[in-house]
Amino acid sequence: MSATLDPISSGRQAVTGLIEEVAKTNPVHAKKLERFLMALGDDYFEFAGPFIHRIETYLTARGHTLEFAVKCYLNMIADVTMEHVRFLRSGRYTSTSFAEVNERVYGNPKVMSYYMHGLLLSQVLWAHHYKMLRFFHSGLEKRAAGIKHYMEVGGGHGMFLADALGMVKGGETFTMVDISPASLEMAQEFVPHDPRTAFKLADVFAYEHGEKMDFITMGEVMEHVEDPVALLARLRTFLKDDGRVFITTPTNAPAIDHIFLFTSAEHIRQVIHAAGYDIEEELGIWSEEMPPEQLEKNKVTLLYGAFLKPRLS
Amino acid sequence: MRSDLLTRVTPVFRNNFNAPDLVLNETMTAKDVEGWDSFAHINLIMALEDTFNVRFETSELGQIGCVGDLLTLLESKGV
Repeated sequence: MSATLDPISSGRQAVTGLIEEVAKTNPVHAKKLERFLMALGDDYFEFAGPFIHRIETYLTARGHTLEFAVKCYLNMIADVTMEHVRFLRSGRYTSTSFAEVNERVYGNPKVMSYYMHGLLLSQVLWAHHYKMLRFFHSGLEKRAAGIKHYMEVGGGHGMFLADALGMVKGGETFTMVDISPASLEMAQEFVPHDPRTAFKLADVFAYEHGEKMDFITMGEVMEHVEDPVALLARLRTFLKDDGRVFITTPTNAPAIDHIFLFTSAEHIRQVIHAAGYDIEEELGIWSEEMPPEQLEKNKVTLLYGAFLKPRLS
Repeated sequence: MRSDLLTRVTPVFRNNFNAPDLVLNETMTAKDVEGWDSFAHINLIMALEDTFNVRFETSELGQIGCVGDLLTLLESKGV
């Protein structure tokens, strides 16, 4: 059947199938997904169909199914719900140090398994993730000319890198640096084979790279570290003076592996400026729909993204 | 008594979803209650915890498909 469908209808069918699978166990969450995703345009469904197919291919190669990934995703959603309850009661994230998170998540294979698969589905099921991806595309397109050396730090499943490979036509090297073996393994599956890419298992604070970068991407990493100013400042050491950085990070986003609490977009801007950058272009996307005056009051998550340029002294 | 529990839970739902005339039954899901989405669900969980002086576990939050599931969960905590 799906072979006869156009890409938009095929994508719509694939997304609907995922939402129906979610609804079997968590109808509350399925309701939100349906409301947010079905309101997106045809471009979303054109993206979603092939992406879900890639996820399915990846899972099949490991003896898993999409249903397994949905179960993992729902475990992650239960974690997020519980963390949110605790966050609203305390005003803090439950973990405040890397050591805590390492013991609780990164060093726990059972948690890591469902968490990685859950995060993978969130890339296609969370509307604010998709909107941020579009912002990344439009911003990178404007800056692509002249990029020879491209780096991504904490690349997760590798989707940003895969897209950059297609968009940065003159790119000579594309390096992903990630501290997690599981992330690197997943990225190497997801990013199409290309001799210009290199995957480096390393802590970015210890990593050294000879060539200075024209562009560095770091999606949703700053909330995972104790000192995001130091992290952004570390990126500066890899960057050419006329280079650019793209970052994303959420405010008020309790999760089992989030450490640093950004309370507002302004808080993120302060960290960016303290690390020695100016903001060229930015976007904030709320994760819930409600009247503007209620968004901050209810501590709704805002996904913030920005293109940065180093401040030259 | 299960029906008593449904009666005690009803005002929590009515207050949380701002629906003074809401009539609950055990088979109701989020589809049947306007405004019962994932964000409102967090407030519902907190209101139920406070009202009945209980705390839910993460694994339990993944088991709530309908109103009846919530009642079963509350019963398991001695409510």
